[in-house]
Amino acid sequence: MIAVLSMPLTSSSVLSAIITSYVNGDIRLIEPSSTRVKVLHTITVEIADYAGPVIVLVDGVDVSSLVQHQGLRWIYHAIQPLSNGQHYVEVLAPGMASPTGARWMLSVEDHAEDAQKHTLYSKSGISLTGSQVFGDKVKNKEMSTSANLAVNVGMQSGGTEVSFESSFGYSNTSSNNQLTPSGLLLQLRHVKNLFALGDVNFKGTPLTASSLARRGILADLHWENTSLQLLQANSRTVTGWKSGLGSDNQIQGIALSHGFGNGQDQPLRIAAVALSGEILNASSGNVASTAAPSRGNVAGLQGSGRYAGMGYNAEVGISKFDADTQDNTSAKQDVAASVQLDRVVAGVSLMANYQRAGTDYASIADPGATYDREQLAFSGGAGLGSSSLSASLSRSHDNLDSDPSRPIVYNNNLGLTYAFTPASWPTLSVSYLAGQVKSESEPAGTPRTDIGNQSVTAALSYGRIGWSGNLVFSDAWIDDPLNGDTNTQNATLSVSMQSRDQLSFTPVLSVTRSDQNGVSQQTGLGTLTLNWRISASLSLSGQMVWIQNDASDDSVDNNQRNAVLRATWDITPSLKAIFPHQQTGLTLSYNGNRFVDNIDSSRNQSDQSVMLGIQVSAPLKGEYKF
Amino acid sequence: MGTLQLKIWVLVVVMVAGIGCSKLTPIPTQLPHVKISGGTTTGPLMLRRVELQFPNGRGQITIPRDSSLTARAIVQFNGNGLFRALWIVDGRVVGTVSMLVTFGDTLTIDTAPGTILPAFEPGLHELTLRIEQPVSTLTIPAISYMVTVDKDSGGGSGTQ
Repeated sequence: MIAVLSMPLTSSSVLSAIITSYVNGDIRLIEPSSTRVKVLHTITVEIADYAGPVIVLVDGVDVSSLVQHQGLRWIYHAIQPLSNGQHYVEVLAPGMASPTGARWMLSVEDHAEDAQKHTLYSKSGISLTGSQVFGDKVKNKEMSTSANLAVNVGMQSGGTEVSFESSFGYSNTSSNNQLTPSGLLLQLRHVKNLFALGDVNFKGTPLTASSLARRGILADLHWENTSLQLLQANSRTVTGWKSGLGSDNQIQGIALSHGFGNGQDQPLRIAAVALSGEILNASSGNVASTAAPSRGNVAGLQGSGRYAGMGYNAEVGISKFDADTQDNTSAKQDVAASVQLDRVVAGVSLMANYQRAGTDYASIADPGATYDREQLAFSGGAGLGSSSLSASLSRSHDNLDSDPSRPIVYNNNLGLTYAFTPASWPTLSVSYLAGQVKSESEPAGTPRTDIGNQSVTAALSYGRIGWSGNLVFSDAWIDDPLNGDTNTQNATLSVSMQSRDQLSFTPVLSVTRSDQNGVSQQTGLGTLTLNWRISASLSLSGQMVWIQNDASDDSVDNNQRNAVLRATWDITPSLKAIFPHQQTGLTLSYNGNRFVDNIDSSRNQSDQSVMLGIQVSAPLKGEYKF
Repeated sequence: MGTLQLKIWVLVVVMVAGIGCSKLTPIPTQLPHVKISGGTTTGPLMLRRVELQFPNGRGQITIPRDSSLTARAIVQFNGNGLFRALWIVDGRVVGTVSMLVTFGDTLTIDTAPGTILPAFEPGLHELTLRIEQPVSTLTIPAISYMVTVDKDSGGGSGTQ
């Protein structure tokens, strides 16, 4: 039995080169380590600087209870070897501040000879829609068509694979003709080594580039405990089929990491990352910015691991950055550092963190961000039965260089969260946050800042097979003698119901009230999203929205209603004899919008339209072995 | 207020220490992800940069019909105050954002669990964040997602 590790995927992005980075927070597949494994009983993953919990799914089945936890590693021993064919392994780390996951596809084949074969494959698909619009107030009662072609083709030979992925949408009306390419990724993979052109993800260290999704080229090379990543990419987001490479707006990066030891406690892992680049125009397709053109270099050295039960993560960074290449100032150099320790003491998880980033410290991977802050933070948490309590405390201040033209601003924060999660009962979570922002050493003419802010959030959740509900209340207020007090309150009720894949029904009702400088504004929002499979061939889906805005000073008083409903009649079975691989549906859509402004009636709007359409999709899948 | 904070903190410490000898279960703790960042912390709220992205970190994505999708706005600002905004898909409001912001220059806003970005209509859809407060001269971009007809992504037509 031969297992071929063929195509690792992330849960969030198929069309992205995966970097099995060694830096904090990444999930790395340790076993199987080779594309040619005769027996595949065991799957081992490793997550740097993370103590759990971890969810492991094999072919969609949760096997977390069978997973053994050893230090940074989670090991799953299958009761029987994985059967022939493709298997999906998914690992989720929900306890991270930003939940992270990774997914791999394992292909287990019958004979060694098969693995020696070359395989051409396609996992592509195409879909088409066409519709005719009717409506009294619709300007263009026109026929519109759209198409989407998703291409995923490649060739695999032993441990080597070449693949290409892209997608483009095409929409056509009498007034508009638009081709929208989306995504580009050409990959050459040999065992765990990867060369990618297109949408690549570079993940450095927190002080250099915690996450950088850009268009360019990436080489990701792995040895036993060492990895090397090289990046050349556009520093701005690039759409379409452009390579992202050129002479302007370029960023270069290198990340080298090495792990020492393989024991239960990973004693030390080192990551060194350097980035250099420029941004000539900070605004791009998905960014609006007032930042000036900038250029700079940044490098970081991170050490992390776990020793004698103590987790540690330390990093130093240095940058030389010109925040505005058009003014007469030159690039400035500065340093940053962070240290984090965590340990479980008598059942209580404890964590401490210290960070300091100088006034002129900056990373080209994080455009627009300013640093100049020192912070010390502690957190702790423990569970007892159905209850758990966590607390955090932090203090920070900026203006580290004591610039006399600016005040020194201090910030203290306290956070408390209590959760009650009894079996078969609703889950209750209550959080309280309090903070204070206070300035000192103000220059002449600058008023003193003394702001207090507090917030309370209570969430009640309950779920049973087929439905779940959440009720959240929050109340937050700022006491700001300088700019005026502000208070905001929100209540949100959301319910999700699903009945045997027949009916999905999600109503959400939210009311928000804000008071600022004696003026209160209230916004009510209701949405209803449904997906109802009425019969085997008929389905109804839609979304209805109602929103109401009111202000106490009568500056705002309006309401808006929108509805989109779509009925689909699946005629696939009738066409199977002619086109065996298609999926076809006839659609009837209704779109209605109504806006009423009670202050200025000239802004009132109302329109309705009906569309008749057809939608066709067909897989373009197959493989050829030779 | 300072006294109240102190009392609450003492209560927490006492509780944690008091039950520390019992059969406590460590729960994962994370320090709030406060990116170390400074800037102008005084004065009224002003926007400097707004980036919208899907889970793939980009402004374009392709998803199968009837799948779930989230989005994120990364907002950099100066000052303190009330931030109010609306998530809008194809001109329809699908979610509201209202929060108070102090000290710090980066605000990360994920679509709330109750905010559903509709994926039942195949074709191209545009998502944007209409910021109502503070008033800004920034033109907030719209990002787009393509919904395919087929429910099963089947590889290439999956999330991109």
